[in-house]
Amino acid sequence: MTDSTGDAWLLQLTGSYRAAIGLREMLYVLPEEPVSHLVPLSRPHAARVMVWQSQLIPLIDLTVFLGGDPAPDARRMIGIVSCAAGNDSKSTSRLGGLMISRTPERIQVWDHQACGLPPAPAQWRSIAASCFRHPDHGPVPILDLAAILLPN
Amino acid sequence: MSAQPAQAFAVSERFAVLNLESVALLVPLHEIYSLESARDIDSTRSAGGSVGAVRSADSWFSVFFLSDDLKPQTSLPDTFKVCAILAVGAVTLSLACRSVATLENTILDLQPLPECMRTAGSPIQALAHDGERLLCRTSMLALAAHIEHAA
Repeated sequence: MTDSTGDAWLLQLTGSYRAAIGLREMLYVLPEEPVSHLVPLSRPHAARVMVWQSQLIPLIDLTVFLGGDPAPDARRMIGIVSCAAGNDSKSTSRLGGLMISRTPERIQVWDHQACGLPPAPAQWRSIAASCFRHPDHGPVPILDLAAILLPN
Repeated sequence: MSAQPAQAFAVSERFAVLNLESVALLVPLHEIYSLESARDIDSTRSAGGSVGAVRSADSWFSVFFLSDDLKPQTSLPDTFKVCAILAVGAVTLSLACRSVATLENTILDLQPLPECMRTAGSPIQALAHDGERLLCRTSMLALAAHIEHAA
């Protein structure tokens, strides 16, 4: 059995959490948080929208989703991410702006690095597809963007 | 990688913009029954979470003041000068607003509220970006249901 590899982005979220996404899931990185607008009665971790390429897209603060406090505005960068939506015959995409605190790092992930999700916070289980052990940072969940952008 | 957004739909329907403190609600213009001055609110008629009632065409309408998170408040700031009375059939609702404007000859690119932002009972159905501001598309019936639940 061979040990295969995949390219990914390592993300530092706005708190102390790290996560990864597939290389092709990141479309763009905004070095500063742009003007955003509050949408009343939306979910706490997705309470604002921003305009990107003439589209309104939700700003996602996974640190809040994971139970942490929102970071000061000055520390936020935005990673524009995308996931497929719909079935094969009528496929579209959903976009989101992930709040991160530093420029994503391109990494390679090998099969042998697979490991279990961190036991806490429990919310990882609803937004992570899998997990790998980073040599410096320990377990890093790989995000399931569809679970984040298209929750049930 | 190219990305197609969630299906947006351009509309040329006439709308009214109800300006709250910093949130702007977008409702079909035909749902506006009348506009009254907030100075005419009779606060002694407050009931059920309203700030009072205003009279229009020999009827009294309870007036609600919503904060930016759309929670009914019982104390109305002086900056809210207009009561927008909305009506659909026999259902009516009056909202205190900082101002009310009409959008005519404006083609809005309405986008459905992103799935990850939706919550049960929210009256916000879609969003539109108009210049520097965000417009939250809703309807009189959705607002009435929300207020009935929240008040």
